[in-house]
Order: sequence, then C-alpha cells, then structure tokens
Amino acid sequence: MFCKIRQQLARLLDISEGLSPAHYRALRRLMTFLMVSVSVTPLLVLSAFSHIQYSRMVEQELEAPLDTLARKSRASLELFLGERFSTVSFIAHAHSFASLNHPDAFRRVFLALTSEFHGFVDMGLVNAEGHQVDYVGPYQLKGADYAGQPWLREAEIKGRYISNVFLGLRDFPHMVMAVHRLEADGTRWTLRVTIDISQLEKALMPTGPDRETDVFLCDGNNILQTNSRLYGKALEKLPLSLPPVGLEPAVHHLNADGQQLLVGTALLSGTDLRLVAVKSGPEALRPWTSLQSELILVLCGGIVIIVLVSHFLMKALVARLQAADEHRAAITAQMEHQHKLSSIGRLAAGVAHEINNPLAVILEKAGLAQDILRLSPSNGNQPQADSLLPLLDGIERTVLRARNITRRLLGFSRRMEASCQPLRLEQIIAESLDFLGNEAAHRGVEITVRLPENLPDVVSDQSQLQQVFLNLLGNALDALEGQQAGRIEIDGKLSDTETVLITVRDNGKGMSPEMLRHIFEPFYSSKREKGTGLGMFITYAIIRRLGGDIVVHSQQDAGTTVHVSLPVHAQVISEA
Amino acid sequence: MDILLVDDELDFIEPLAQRLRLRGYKARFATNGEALLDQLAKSPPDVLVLDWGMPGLSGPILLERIHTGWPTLPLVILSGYNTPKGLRQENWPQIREVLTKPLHFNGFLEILEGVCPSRGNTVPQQGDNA
Repeated sequence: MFCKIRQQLARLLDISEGLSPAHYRALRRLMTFLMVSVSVTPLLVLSAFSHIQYSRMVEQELEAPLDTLARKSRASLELFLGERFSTVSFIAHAHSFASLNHPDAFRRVFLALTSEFHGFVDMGLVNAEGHQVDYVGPYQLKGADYAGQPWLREAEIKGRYISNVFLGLRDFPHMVMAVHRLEADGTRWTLRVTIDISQLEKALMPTGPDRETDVFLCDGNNILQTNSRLYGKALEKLPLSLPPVGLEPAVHHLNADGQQLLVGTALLSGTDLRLVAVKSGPEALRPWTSLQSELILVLCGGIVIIVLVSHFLMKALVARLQAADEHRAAITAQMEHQHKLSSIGRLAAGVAHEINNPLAVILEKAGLAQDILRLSPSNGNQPQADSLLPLLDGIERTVLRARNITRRLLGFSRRMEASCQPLRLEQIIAESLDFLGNEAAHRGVEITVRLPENLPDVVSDQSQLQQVFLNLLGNALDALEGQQAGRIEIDGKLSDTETVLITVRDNGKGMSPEMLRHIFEPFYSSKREKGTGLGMFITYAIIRRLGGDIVVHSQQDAGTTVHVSLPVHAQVISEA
Repeated sequence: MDILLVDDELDFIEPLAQRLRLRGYKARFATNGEALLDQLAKSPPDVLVLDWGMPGLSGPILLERIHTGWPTLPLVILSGYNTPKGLRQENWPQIREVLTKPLHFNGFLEILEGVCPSRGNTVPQQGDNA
C-alpha cells in the first residue's frame, strides 16, 4: 500500500508527466488524502482509546452508588429483621409457656413489643399440638390450627423460622417470624409474630426515597416481596430474570425490553430473600450517552476541520506548484526557442558560406565569358556574342542576387568588438527615419517619437542598431500599407539603470498568432512579393548579440508593438 | 601591375586571373600556401590577394610569414565570411582591404587600382558591368 502510494506520488511529482490540469487534480487529491489520513488516524485511535477508558470510568461511577445502596439496604434490612427476630427470641426465652398463656399477660408483652418496635401486626402463641392458644392482633385468629404447616415444622426443627411474604389467612402481604421453645419440663411451644411489609419497605431505603433507583425484595422464585415502583405490587411475579445472587452484593447490566438496566443484587443472610436495586432507563446512562455524543461531536468537528484545512492547504500548495512548473516550462520553452533560433542562425551562416564559394566560381566564370566576348579581338562571331552576352548578364545578376542573400545571412555573424561606440538613440532613430520619412509622408503615416531627455547614450554598434531600427520601422510602414490614419509611435524609457527600453508601436494590420510564433525565423515573410524573410531574423540576431532582447506583441487588425531592450553597455556575444 | 592571387579553388582563381590579364594586368596565381611562398621568394608581386580559409597553410599562418618576409607588401584578403575568423584588420597595416566572396569584379578592380595605382600599361575596358 505504502509502496503504491509512493510510486503514485513519484509519478505525479515528475514534471515530465506534463502540465495537464488533471495531473494536478490527481496530485492534490493524493496529497489531501495522505494529509487527512495522517491527521485523522491518530485522532481516531486516541478517541477510541479515551472512549474505552472513559466508559470504564463512567461504568464504575455508575456502579459504585448502586453497590453502596445495595449494601446499605441489605445492612438496614438485616438490622431490621435481626432486631425484630432477636426481640421475639428474647420474649420467647424470657417467658415460659405458662407465664405467657394468659391473655392479659400475652397482651401486655405484645404492647411492650409494639411500643418499642414498629411493624409488628400481631402475635400468637402456638402449643405443641399446633393450636394457637393465645393471639393478640387485629384478626380473630385465636384457636387457629397450624398443625402440620411447613413453617411450624421448620420452626420445631430449627428452633426459628422467618417466612417469605405471603397473604395467608390475614389476606394482606406480611411475613412471619417464629421461635420454637422446648422447656426444661418438656413443654413445647412456638411464639409467632407477623410483620407488616410496609415497615420493611422503609428499611429498604435507608437513605430515603430515590427517584432514580427502585429498591425492592424478591424471593428465590422471583416473586416480589415488597412493592416495587417499576415492577408491581408485592407477591407479583418480577418480570426480570435476575442473574444468580450471591452473598456479596454485585452489580449487573441487564437488557430488558431494549432498555439498559443497572441492577444491584444481594442475598439477605439467613433468608431466601434477595435485595434488588434497579437503576434504569436514560436516566441511569445519561452521563454515558452525553459523553458519547460530545465525543462524537468533537471527533466529527475535528475531522471536518482537518479535511477542510487539508483541502484548502493542498489546493494552495498545488496551485503554487503548478504555477512554478508552468513558469519553468515557459522559461524552458523560451530557452528552446532561443536555442533553436541560434541553431538556425549558425546553420544559415554555414550554408551561406558554403554557397559563397560556388557562387564565386559561377560569377568569375560568367564574368570571364563576358570578358572573352567583349575584350578579346572579334573573331567574326558578333551575332553569337550579342545573343550570349544577355544570358551571361542574367547569370551574373542572379548570382549577385544570391550573393545579397548570403551576405545578409552572414551579416549578423560579423564580429564587432571594434565598432562599439557611445551612441545617442535619438540620432540613430532620426537617421533611420530620414531613410523612410519620405515614404511615410507619401503614405500619410504619422510618426511620433517620444524619447525622454535623460535617456543615456548606449555603447553599441551604430550600423547594426541602425539596421535594427530600419527593419522595425520598415515593417511598421509595411503593416500600415493601404491604411487610413496610420500611426507609428516610438517611445523610449530607462527600464532600469542598465537597460534602455525602446517601443515601436503601429496601428497596422497586425499578425496572426501563428505568424508571431515564427516571426524570428529566417525566410518567414508576410511580404511574399518583396521581403526576403530575413529582416526580423537578423534584427533578432543583432539585438541578442548586442546583449539586448526583443519581444513582439501583435493582434490581427489592431497593430503590432515591438519592445526592444538594449543594455547601456553592450556586452557583445560573439557567435562567429 | 603584378598581382598574385592565392586561393585553393582553381575554378575561381583561374578565371579571375584571366579576367585581370584580359585587362592588361600581370596576374598569376597559386592554389596553396607553399606555392605562394615559393612565388613570393622568386619575385614578390605589387599586390597579393589572399584567400583566408585554405586547407594546409591558411590565412593566419601565411599572414605571419608574409609579414615577416615582406612587411610592406600590400594585401587584399578574401573570405567566405563577411569578416574572416581571427583577423583583426587594424593589427596589420599592410592589409588594405578585406573582401567577401563572391567578388564584385568592378569594385575589386577599383580596390586594386587604389592599392597600387596602375603603371600605365593597362586601359580598363568600357562596358564591363560585372
């Protein structure tokens, strides 16, 4: 994967791939992707890590109070039941069956009991046969027969009994405690009390009612032993399936009907009763869900910012890169263009030189033939000589025409060390205008020259510079041919301390971009009938050799502007 | 006027010499540096027309030798280029003119006459418009 990305990146950063916009788009996409992934990956890992850590902490934070509540409730319940059982046990052991078996005495004991402790409903004395011989309480239960009942048998075997909650004869949920006595004389009896579970419910919440938490008791068969706020009245079936309950309080996560529940359970020692504390619903998990949503919000926000910043950063960066590449490509193209022109120049000069020798031979031989016909003593063939001479003249004229071309081609390759001198540009331009002024006036072309006074003299080659301006002005005049209100403007300024910029502007017919591209190439002429196609080629070569530069802007039917920059001190570049 | 022409191109130098002779000049030629030096040693001409770019002994070397042996001999240099490579005319006072081939014959004659005024044994002919 990394290898692939690296290859892709190397490919995209390779300039030779070209300068297409698609290329830069691909580069931008790849770099943005890399930057986003490099920034987002650690963020995601960190978020996941802190998520896990924090969720653990929140869980503990949530579980701890429930655990505490379960412990407290259990302790309070155990205390409640223990106290009552101890009291009942104390009564049973402090009295004999005989001493209790008087309605008045029994009532007095019950009153003493209820004056100290809440929650006792009634009290009964059951003899060895299982008959309730004495009873104090709101029900008419004296004489009730409990013989053979499981609670009585358990009390007789174990000496004590604490029941689960049940309805029984009294028809309201209650629980029973019984203490069995075997007196020294063999008398067997059982003291039985009933406890109202509403007192139990108070003991369940030692810290007072809690809106978020539901605390209740249930037995081993999941039958509610106290009223539950959420799951119904006492003696109804608990709709939850509780995990196995141990003596130690434990907190469990339950999922009931799609609702997250936090359940604390504890077994009451010595009974089959379990204490259950339930924290439920969104309330219970609010800190957790709020944390989750905040975390997701921060994460998403962060990612969005990273993506945006990466996008714009890479856009700017790639745009800069593209601009730099384009700049470089433009410079390379310009260098290639100059290189091409200089190659053409060398080629042209070489060709011209090589052609000059055969031309010289032709010229001399034709000249000799003419001389023989004219200068030798007449041998009587005068008519032939008369017909030959014009032919030889034609050869000579043609050779001289060819010689003019080769000479012009060779012209710019001349060395000039000796001919550099300080020149006033005004004078050079004025002299050039002298040559062309008549023609300009004849054609009605208005020529304006605006050269500032402070334009310095340039040290350069007079004849070559003159040739440059003659070429440029001649071209401008030709571009204005047949045009009404033709104008040529010549401006000059000092572009920096070492360079003079001369601008020749005409409002003539201009050039096509295609023509502009080839303007400096030799034999590329727009004036087919009169030009040699060498003017701008030579102009370009001269200016380059004088250490200057020439730039042509042109628009078809709008005119042409030529900018010539010349160094104040020409550093002649020799090509010969 | 005795003119010595030097050029490796026989087809060029022979007709040129002939044309000069037709006009009454004493014109001879050599086609290489050694032959030139031989002829110079035998009898120096009034003016020497030297091609700058010859194989073997070429312009710069010959110029040194000629300057050493015949420092006052007037020279006309011929070249295929507008200006011969490696030649600074101002350093050599005996060089009267540098000409580019092909020659404009009438101009060439004028230069020769200027270098060494005719001693009267020739009359340039009318009607030569070369």
